[in-house]
Amino acid sequence: MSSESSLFSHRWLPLLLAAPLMLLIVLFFYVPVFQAFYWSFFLEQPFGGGSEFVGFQNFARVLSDPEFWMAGWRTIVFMLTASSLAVIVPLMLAIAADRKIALSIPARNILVWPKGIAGASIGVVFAFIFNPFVGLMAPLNTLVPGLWNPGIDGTDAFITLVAAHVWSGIPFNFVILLAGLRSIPHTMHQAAAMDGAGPWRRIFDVQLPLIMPQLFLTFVLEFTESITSVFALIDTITGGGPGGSTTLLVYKIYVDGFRGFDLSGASTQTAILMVFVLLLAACQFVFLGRRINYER
Amino acid sequence: MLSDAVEPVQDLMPDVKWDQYIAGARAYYETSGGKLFAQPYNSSTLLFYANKTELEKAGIMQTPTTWEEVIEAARKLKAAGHACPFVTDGDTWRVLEQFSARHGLPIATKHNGYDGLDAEYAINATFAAKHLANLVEWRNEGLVRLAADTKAGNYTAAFNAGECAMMEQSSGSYTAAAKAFDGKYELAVNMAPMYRGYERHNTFVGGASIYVMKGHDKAEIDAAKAFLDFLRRPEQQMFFTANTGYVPVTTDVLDAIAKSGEANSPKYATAKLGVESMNQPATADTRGIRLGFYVQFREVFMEETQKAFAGQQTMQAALDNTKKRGDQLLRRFEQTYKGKKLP
Repeated sequence: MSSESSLFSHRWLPLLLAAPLMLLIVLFFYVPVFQAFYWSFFLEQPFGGGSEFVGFQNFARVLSDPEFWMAGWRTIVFMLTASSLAVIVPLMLAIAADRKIALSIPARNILVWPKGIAGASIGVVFAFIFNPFVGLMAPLNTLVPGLWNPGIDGTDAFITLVAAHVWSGIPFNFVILLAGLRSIPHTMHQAAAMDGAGPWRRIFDVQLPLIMPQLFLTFVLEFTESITSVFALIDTITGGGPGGSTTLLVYKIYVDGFRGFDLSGASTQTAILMVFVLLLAACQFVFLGRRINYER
Repeated sequence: MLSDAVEPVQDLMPDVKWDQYIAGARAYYETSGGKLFAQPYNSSTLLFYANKTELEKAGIMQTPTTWEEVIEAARKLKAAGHACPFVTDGDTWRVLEQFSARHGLPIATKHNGYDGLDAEYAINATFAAKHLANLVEWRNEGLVRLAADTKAGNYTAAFNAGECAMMEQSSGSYTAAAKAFDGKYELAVNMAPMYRGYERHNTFVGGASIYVMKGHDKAEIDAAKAFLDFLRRPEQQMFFTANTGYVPVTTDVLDAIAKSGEANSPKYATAKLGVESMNQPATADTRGIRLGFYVQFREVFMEETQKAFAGQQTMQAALDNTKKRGDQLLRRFEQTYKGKKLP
């Protein structure tokens, strides 16, 4: 590594080049983060004019609020179901596209396209796709009236959200996983095939172990991303309803802070959520990251 | 109001005839002492909309004025095969606030918070709780539909398209409904329905009002005053009413409409009804709502009542929860503005 850094002989130039981005990160990430932690210890008046230091009172209030725990629980359920599916589905697609089956070449291109669509647009489209009267599930309702209605039934709304999230996660994870699969030397497949391993055996014993770094990357990103990126989907598909059934923590923070002007409560929840995400990523690195072999 | 950021319009322009403002619009934007704090602008109130053509098809000749009549009409419509007799989105403003106001019921103690920050919610113990429980029952009976039950997915769209026959909606919705109905259905508009045995009180004003902020120099304040004067002019208000369905807010505009020779024109249909509805006898509980973190309370109300509509809890439990969570909001608001008094 030392040979690479010696490429920059000038002492300040690297810093100067990085400065614009650092400035943006400080302005739009570290300052708000600091502000959130700061406000979580104050009762802040919504339109300025004063605040009062209240110590851990905000934390006590938030942690004793059943709504907070419900939103937290929903966040975890969403994280586990949606993120897992958002890796598994692209994994299956990538394995299929990696093989020489019909249309695998165009599929490798087409599956990447949704990356260009904003979360909010995906939300609008999925709200339509899962509409109980004109959407995919409409035939179900004709058979059993009222069986599917995300506007009334919280579980239906949650399923819609998971489906939209998985779909929106396909392109990125697909690219990463496919790249991993493509980089596996062809000779390994041939050797395994010579030894009598069928396609399934080769997936589990050759391909999956060799793309562990890529799988780990997608899982880490998905788990942490799913907690925050779901905001656009919630806002456009369900608005957190019905009856709060799709109010994940990130959406509750938005509603409390920006619609309800509870700046202190929203800041406190932000602080808690941030610590949770950091812990989560740390756990993944400590318990999973170490076991991954990056050498080939 | 507590941030001391606003210059009350009545202090700023003491010479304007503020008593010309219709009572329901005035009280909502008044200080506790009765001074107008902001100038009402795009004002609306809750009205009852009916698809007269569909009602007549089911044999209902009179547009309902009471809830008993609404439900009777809904039963007839259902019997005639109508899938959506009455539609609502269950919004706090429509099903709780306007209902409580016109039935003279308090939403919170201390006259809905006008008399102090230590108010508490009362919604789980007034007749409004009974009405909301009725809505759940009527929905189960197929008489009332929620927005999410409709094909349109939006209750105004569902009514305007003819899917649903009756709704409660802001007067500001009139023009859109009239346009959508044009040539297909006949539209009937009335004051929002009452329960029999209850005296009708004023409905709250909806929409928005204009505040003058402190800390500007004289030239800017003069410009603001001139703008407010302009907006108050009868011909401006008439133009606005005719094109939007929002309700005029001063009595001289009503006179001007009466003299204009177009008093019965549909473009002023909501003006008369809306003003009449907001000018009903007032009580100390129908002045308005002055409760801290009220926007959050509305979210809580929607969340809890949606659970009741979905059958996850009874409406009474939903309202008890709403009161509990609402009171927590009020106590926190009180603490946030410790030592301050409402103007």
